[in-house]
Amino acid sequence: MAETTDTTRDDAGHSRPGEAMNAPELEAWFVREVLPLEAALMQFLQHNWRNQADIADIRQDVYERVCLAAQDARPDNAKAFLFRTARNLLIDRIRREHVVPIEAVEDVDALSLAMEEPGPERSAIARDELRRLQAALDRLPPRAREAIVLGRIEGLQGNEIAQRMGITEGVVSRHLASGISALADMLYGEDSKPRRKP
Amino acid sequence: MTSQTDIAAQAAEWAQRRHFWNWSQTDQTELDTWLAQSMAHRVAYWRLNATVERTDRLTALKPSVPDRTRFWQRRSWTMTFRAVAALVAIAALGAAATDYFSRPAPQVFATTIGGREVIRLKDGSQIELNTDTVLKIASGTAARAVTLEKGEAYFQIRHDADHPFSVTVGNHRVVDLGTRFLIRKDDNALQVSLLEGRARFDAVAGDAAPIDMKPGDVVLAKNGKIDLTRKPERAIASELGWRNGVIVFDSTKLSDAVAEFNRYGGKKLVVDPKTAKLKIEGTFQLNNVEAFADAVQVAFGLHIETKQDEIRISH
Repeated sequence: MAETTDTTRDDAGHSRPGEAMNAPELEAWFVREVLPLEAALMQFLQHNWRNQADIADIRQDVYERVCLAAQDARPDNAKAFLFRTARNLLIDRIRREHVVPIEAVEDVDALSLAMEEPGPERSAIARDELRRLQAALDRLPPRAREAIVLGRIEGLQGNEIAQRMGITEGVVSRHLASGISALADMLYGEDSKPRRKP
Repeated sequence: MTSQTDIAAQAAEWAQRRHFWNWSQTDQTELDTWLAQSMAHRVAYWRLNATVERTDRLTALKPSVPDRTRFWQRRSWTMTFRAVAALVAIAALGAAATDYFSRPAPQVFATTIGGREVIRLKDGSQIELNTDTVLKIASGTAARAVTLEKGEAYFQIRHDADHPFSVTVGNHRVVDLGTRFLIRKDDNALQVSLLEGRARFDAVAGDAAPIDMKPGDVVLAKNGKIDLTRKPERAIASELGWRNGVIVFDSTKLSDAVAEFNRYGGKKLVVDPKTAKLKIEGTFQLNNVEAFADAVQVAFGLHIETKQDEIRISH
């Protein structure tokens, strides 16, 4: 998408609820409306699913289902729709795997009412955002952090990062990929309140 | 089916490749193909791509002093941080105040061959440009006037009785009355398809009677002649496949199908005139000419010859 579209990204009226969305619209909607809810979603999943090793996969299953439905008709309330989908998906899995009784899944309506408005992304101002980014970078493994900083802040290309760090390009790729994944988990999956290094 | 864990790893590989290494058109095509394979691929990639794009703001932290080697160490980092944060806040305000209609000169939007772009207007209207398209938006606060110089665009227009939205194409003009419509301008033909609402098709000059269009109406202006026909909704929707990265064929002649593909760049398809009349049906990724050629080969038993930048289809 062209840069020019970004100037109106906080204009609420691009595609309207109930309308189908094409791929760029769906991506913009997903990033704007759904991703900022990830911390709350993770909390919900962690409370309601015993095996914590499954959580990341379940989260992606939820996103997949949400976007498959949203591309045909944009939900008018992203949050309600996300949590309803998450709940249904957990119930499906419970039925399939016979692990916990269905009653174990929290009442979604009560839960979404209890969650504060607006989402962290919307209330974030530039300063908080920078502080968050910095805190997240600080918590990356040192080599991954170094590779990402060299690329994003110093503007080096992958091969230059490899030279600077004295490692092969393949290793740079691995550090970058794991660094990006970890950043995503921290920036979207965790509560925006500051926390200390683990 | 690949598990979400594998998909997440592949998405991370794509995200780092996209943002940290030289990125070619071929890379983009490969990524588009991978993304087109499933929604699971798309959501995994979108999430990581958004993450990398968030770190864009960190470039503001780049120090002006050449103390590069130790820069990422925490101490120097925090020192630069405060001063820059204020600048970022100011820059963000500036960007938010930008408005399409507040700029003096007309704005020109253009897509390359194979490109696509979504333009969102402040009034809530949206215009999507297909491959190889040029569109100009007039300046002025009240003007809702655009010119389609060439190519194809899909319009979803918010109705405003006081400020009708008009599209000028060559010697013709389409004035919307609250509408979704598609306009395609080729070298010697202009086609307007109305999906929803009402619109008026008019000549810019001269005294030809204007045509009031209803949903399903298709106006074709070619060689100085104007024809009004009707198409079923499904057929018009098929013509909008490009919005989702696909081309839809429904009893389309092979020669026409090939011409469609060639609009989007990639390897050029060349078809032997003897096979041009075969009819094609189906949905294809518009950036994957090879898959289309394979399908044609299998379906009709045709001969496919792939060269450097050309694919020949013959008996």
